[in-house]
Amino acid sequence: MAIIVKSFLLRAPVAFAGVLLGLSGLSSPAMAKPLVAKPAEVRVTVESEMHFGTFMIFGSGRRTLGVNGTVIDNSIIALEGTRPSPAQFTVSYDRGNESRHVLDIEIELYITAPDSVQINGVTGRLSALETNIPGASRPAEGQPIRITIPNCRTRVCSRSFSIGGTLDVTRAYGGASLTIPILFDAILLSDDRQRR
Amino acid sequence: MKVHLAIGLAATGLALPSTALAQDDQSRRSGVARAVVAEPLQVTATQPLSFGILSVANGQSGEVVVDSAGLEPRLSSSINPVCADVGACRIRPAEFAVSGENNRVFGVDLPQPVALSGSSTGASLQVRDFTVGRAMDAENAAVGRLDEAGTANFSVGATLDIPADTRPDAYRGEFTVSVFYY
Repeated sequence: MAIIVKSFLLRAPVAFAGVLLGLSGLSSPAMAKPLVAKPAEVRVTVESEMHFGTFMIFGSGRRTLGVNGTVIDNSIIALEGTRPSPAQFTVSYDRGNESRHVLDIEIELYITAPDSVQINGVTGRLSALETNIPGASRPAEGQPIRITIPNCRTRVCSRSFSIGGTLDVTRAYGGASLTIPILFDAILLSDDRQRR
Repeated sequence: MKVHLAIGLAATGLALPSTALAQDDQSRRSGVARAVVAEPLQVTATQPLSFGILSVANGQSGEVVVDSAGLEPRLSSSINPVCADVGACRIRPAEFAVSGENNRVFGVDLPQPVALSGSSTGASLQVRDFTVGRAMDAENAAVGRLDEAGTANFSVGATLDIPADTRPDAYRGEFTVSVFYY
């Protein structure tokens, strides 16, 4: 008697699970989900921010930061603190899952920054951006920068680059931690299949 | 004709994913340029260095050491204060107030020996061995730290040499300290 009850209890959950599996097989779209096309896309990744370091000024001063980290100061007293460093960015092209061809990629990059930023009695103005992108060492304001990635054979192809610039600072009073936003817009111009 | 049309549509369909890119937020990124602009240091003398009013035994020399940390001054046995330790009689270190960037470390440059000049006689006395103390770092007396409000105070002591046969007079002089971000 006791054995029969046990048998019944064991069998019931198995049967119930079987029904559930059957139902889920019928209703779940995951079981018959078609492959979804993933279109190509362009990404911009911030690897590191541009930092002009820590300094003191009387009135006004200027610090120019080269793409290789060189620093030129004008009327600035350098202080201990964060080391000046150019920004590092990566522009990536992800072809998605729709092509395996060898591609020549052309991307247009726009870099924009506000005219000036004022925090307390300190005003900072970022200008004269410079990059190590071939052909765009000193892009004019608003000028698109052409980035080419030839011979792209992998799903994701990318180019990393550095950006420096000149920061003009005017101090009326006090001190400030200046933060100047820089917007990077990347647009794919072409991802042509390479001609052989 | 229908076949051609079908092929044309198919080709367009294949090209679409490439040209009509997924231009979402991935293609737009905001970075920043940062800089820390520190407020310049300012130092103000709030209290002069005072050696008090002293008497010196005839034919004797001596020295008065004013401690920068505010400890009791040390006087040679030949030298005695003529009045209680108040007002002009008080022997005390100079006090300075500093303002600048909060939490920053600063250093103090002290002067070389300076001469005090007697207002009546024109005779001179030398003050030497300036020291800095109070609010300065315990391990490195040459540096101090500004507080959250960007302020600090420090004191400066020194040693006054009084040669034998120094003529009675009121001796005065000036010295300069400079501060800098460390």
